[in-house]
Amino acid sequence: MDPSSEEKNTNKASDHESDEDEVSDRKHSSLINTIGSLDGRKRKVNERSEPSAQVSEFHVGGSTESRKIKLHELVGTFKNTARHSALKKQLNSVRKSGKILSTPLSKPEQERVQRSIAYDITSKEISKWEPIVQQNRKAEQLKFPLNQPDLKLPTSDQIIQRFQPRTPLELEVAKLLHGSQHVFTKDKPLSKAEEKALKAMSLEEATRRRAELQKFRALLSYKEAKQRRQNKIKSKTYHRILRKEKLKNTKRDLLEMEGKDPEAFAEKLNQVEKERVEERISLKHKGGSQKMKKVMAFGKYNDQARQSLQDMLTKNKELTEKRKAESSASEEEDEDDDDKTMDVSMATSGQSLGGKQTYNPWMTHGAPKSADSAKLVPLNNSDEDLANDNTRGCYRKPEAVQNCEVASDSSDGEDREDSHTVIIKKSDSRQKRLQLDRNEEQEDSEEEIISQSLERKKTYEEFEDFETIDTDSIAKVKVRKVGKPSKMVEENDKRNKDVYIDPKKVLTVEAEIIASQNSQLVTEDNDDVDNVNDADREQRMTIAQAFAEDDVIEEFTQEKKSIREKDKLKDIDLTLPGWGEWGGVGIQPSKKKRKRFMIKAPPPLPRKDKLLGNVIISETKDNSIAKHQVNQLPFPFTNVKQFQSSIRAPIGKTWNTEMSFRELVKPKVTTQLGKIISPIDKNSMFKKQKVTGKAFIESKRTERDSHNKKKASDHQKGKRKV
Amino acid sequence: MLCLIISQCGEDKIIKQWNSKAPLLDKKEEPMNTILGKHIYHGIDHHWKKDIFATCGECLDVWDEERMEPVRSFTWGVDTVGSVRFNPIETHILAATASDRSIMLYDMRGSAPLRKVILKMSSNRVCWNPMEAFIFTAANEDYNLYTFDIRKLNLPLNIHMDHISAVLDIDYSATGKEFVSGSYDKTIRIFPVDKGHSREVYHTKRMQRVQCVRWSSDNKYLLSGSDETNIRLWKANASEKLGALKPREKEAFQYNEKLKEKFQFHPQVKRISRHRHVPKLIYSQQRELRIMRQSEKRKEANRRAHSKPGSVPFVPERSKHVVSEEK
Repeated sequence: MDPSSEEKNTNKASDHESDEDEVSDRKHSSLINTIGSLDGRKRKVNERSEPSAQVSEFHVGGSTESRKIKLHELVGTFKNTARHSALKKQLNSVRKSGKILSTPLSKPEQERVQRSIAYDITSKEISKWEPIVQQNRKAEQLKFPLNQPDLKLPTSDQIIQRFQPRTPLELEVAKLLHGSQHVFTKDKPLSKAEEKALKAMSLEEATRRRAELQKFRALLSYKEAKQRRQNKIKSKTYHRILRKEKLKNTKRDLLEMEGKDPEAFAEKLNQVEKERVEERISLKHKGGSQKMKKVMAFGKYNDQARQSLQDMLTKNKELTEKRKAESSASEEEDEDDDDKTMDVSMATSGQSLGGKQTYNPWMTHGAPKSADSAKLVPLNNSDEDLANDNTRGCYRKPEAVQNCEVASDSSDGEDREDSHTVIIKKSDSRQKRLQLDRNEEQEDSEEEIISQSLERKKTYEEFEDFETIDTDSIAKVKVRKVGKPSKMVEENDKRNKDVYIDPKKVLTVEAEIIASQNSQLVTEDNDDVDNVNDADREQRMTIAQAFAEDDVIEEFTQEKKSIREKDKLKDIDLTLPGWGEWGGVGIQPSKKKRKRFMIKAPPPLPRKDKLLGNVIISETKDNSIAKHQVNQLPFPFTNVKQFQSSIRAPIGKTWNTEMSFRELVKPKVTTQLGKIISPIDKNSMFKKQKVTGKAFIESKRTERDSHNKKKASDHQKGKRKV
Repeated sequence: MLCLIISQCGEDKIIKQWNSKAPLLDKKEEPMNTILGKHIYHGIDHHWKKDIFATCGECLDVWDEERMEPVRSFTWGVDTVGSVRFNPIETHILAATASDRSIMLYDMRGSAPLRKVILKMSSNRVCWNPMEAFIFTAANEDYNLYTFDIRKLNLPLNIHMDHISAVLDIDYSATGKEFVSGSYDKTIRIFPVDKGHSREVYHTKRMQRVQCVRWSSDNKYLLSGSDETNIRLWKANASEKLGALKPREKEAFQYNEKLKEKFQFHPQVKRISRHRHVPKLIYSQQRELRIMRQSEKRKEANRRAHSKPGSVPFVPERSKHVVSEEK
C-alpha cells in the first residue's frame, strides 16, 4: 500500500470525524470506498483469514505454544518501512540493554508478597525487644511498676548549686564568704590570701615552709597509720605486753616521783588509798551488781563473760589490796579477826611477795614471814576448817583439796608427806611449776607445793604454757575424781601404791567433765562465785554416786553384741517333719533331710561399726523417714550432690547475716497494692539506647571527618611534593 | 476532651460510644456517639494510646473516634473474625481470631494483613503479653491455650492444658508472668506463662460458664463475668494477706515463701501445696481426659513397636495442634 495515500485518507477521515461525530459506520465505510475509488486503484486490505503459527501484527502466535514471543518477531513488519526509523532505533536499543519489565503478578500473588514483606518488616522491628525480654526473664527480681519515679534526695552539691541567699543573715554570710580572701575555691589548691602570701615570700622561704609543712603532714599521717594498725591488733599477748609496759612506766614514774617530788607522791598515794576505801565501801567490783550475778549464774560457758568477770575480780583485788603504807598493826588486827580466810590471804599475799615481785611497788613487806605462816595454816587446819573452806569457796586446786583430805584423814605427818611426794612424782616438773604459779595467783593456802617449787616464770611463753597445761592437768584430776567417785577415799589411801585407771572405762565420762573445766578455772579465784559451782559439783557427785554401780561400758558392749547377732542373716530350715518318712510326736526329721532342706545364710558383710569401739551404727533402713524424703532428682538439678547442697544451705536469719537473709528471701516479683502497672513502655525503654545510638553516630561522624581531613591533607602534601 | 470513652458493639450492627463518667443524678445515661455499621460486629478493642479502636465481624475495621467511617478495613478470605486485640507495647499491631480456625496478625499502619496461623480447632480469644511485645496466647476450643511468638508461628512456644472444656477468654497479668483463663467448664484457671499446667483453679457452686476474665492492673485481683450474669472479684494469689503489712510480717511471709520454694520437691510439702478441691464433675472429667491421652499414647507406642522402624515417627505435642502457617 502507498503510504502517502493512506496518510491522506486518514487525515481526511479524522477531519470528517471531527466535523460530524454521529455518522453511522455504514456511511463512513461507503465514504471511504468512494474516496478510495477516486484514486483509480483498488485499495488492498490486509485481513486475517486463518490461524497461523507465524507471528505477525495480527497474530501473536499459537496460544497453545508456551514459547515466548520475541520482540523482533513483532517488529518484523517494520522492516520495509522507512517511516518508523526512530521507533526502530529505540526498540533496538531496548533489545540490546535487555531491560524489559516483567509481567504484573496476579492479585492474590501480589497480596501475598505484600503480606510477607510487611510481616518481615514487623518481625524484624519487634525483635529489638528481644534483649529486654531476655533480661527481664532472667532478672533476679522485678519491681513493678517498672518505671518508678526517682525519689532520691538531692545531694549537698546540688543544693549548693541552687542555693540563693535570701534572709539578711544568709546575705551577710554569703558576703563574707565570697568577699573573703581566705575562702577556698574548688578548682584551686590555695586560697587567694595564701597565694598572695606565697607571692610575697621569697622563693627560698616558700620552699622551706613548704618542706616543713610536708614533713608535718607526713609525720601526722605516719602516726595515724601506726595508731590505726595498733588498734586493729587482736592478739591478747600483745595487749598484755602493752598493759604491762604501761604499768611499768607508771611504776617508774612513781619511783621517780618519790625521789623528786615527795609531795606529789604522797598525794598520789592518798588518791590510791581513797580509791581503795571507796571500793571497800561500795564493793563495786565484788560482783554484787545484778549483771554480774547473772554472769556468774549463766555466763559460765561464755568466754567473754568469763573474761569480764575475771577482770572485775582482779580489779577488785587490786583495789582492796593492802599496801606497804598500812601499818603492821592493822595487819595484826586482821590476824586477830575471826575470819580465818583473811588470815590465809594475808599470809599468801605476803608469801607471794616474797616469792615474786608483784606489780605494787610499795608492797615490799612480809617476805620473810611467808614461810612460817604458810606452813602453819594447813597444819592447824582441822576438819572444821576444811569444811569452812569448802563452803566458802570453791574449787581450789582439786589436788590440793584431796591432799588436805588425806592429811586430815591420816593425821600422820609422815604419811602425809608420802602422799604428797607420790603426787609430785606423777606430775611432771612443769605441772609443779604451774601449781606454784596458780597458787601465787590464787593467793590461797597451798603452802606445801610452794615450798617445793622454786622456779620462776621468766618469759611469756611460760605463762602461755601454764594456761594450756593447767586445764589438762585439772582435767586429769577431775577424771580421776569423778570416774570413780565412790572409791575416792580408797583411792586416796592407795595413792602411795601405783594408781591405775582403766582408760576405757573412764572414756565415757571424760567429755562431760572437760566441758565444765573452764568455768571452774575461772571461778576458782572468787569466793562468791564458788557457791554456784559448789552446788553444781555436789549434784554431779550425787549423780555419779547414784550410777556408781552401773557398769555402763559392759552394758554397751552387750548391747552391741546383741544387735550384731540380731542383724545377722539366719539359716532357713525348710524341712517338713513327716514328709517322706514317719511322723508323730517326738520323731525328729533325719539329719540328712534337714541338711538337704536347710538354706544357709550367706556370710554377713562386715559391719560399719566393727572397728569402732564405742559406736553402734544401725544399717537397717528406716522406713518412717522415707515418706518425707525426695525419691527423684528434681528437674533443674543435674546431680544429687547439687540438690543436697541446695537443701543443706540454710535461708533463715538464725544462720545468715541480716543482709544475706534479705537477699535470700527476696521475691522474684514485687508489686504494690493499688499501683497500676502499665505495659512496658517503648519510649522509656529505648530512650537510653537512642541516646547512645546518637552518640555512636556522632563519634562515627567525627571519625569520618577527621579521616577526610587527614585524607585531604595527605592529598595536599602529595600535591606539594609533586 | 478529658473523658474516657468506652465503645460497645453488638450484633445489632451498632457501635455506641459511652462516657465513662457517671451521669448526673436526674439524667438518663445516653451514648455519646452511635455508629450504624454495615455488618454485624463480634468484637471490639481500643488502642492503648491513641483515639483509635478496632472492630471485627465480616472484616476487621480500624476506626478513628472522631469519624463515622472506618479508617481502614482488612479482609483476608471471607471468614468471620470473632475477636480482636491491640498489642499493648507495639500498639500498631493487632491479633484477631477468625472462624476458619485461624489467628491473624495485622499491622494497622499497612494496608495488608501480616500473617495467619491455622490451628486444628478455632480460637476464641487472644491476649498479648504486656511485658513481652512478641508473645501472645490464644484460648482455644480444644480445651488448651497456646502461647505463640509472632516471629515463629509454625510452632507454639507452649501449650497450656488443664481445662476440661473450651476456653472462652484469657487475660494476662500486668506483670506478664501469668495469665488467667475462663472456660466453659465453669472454672477459672491461672497459668504461669512458662508452665504447661495451671497453678490455681477457682470455682464456686453458683458460677456458670465463664465468658470473660480480666486481671486487675495492680496484679492483685481477677475479675470474671459468667453466664449467671454475675461479675466476681477474686484474689490473684489466694493465700496472700491483703492490706498494709508490717515490715516484720512482710519478711516472715517472704521467708515462708522461700522455704516453700526450697522444699517444694519433698513429697509431703508437694502434696500440700498441690492439693486443690475441685467439683466432682471436673475431677472425673479430668481423669477421663487423662485416660484418653494415655491410651492414645499407648496405642501410638504399640503401633511404633510393631511397624517398621521410622515408619511411625515421633511427633512432638507442640506441632500436633498447628495445621499451617499461611503467608
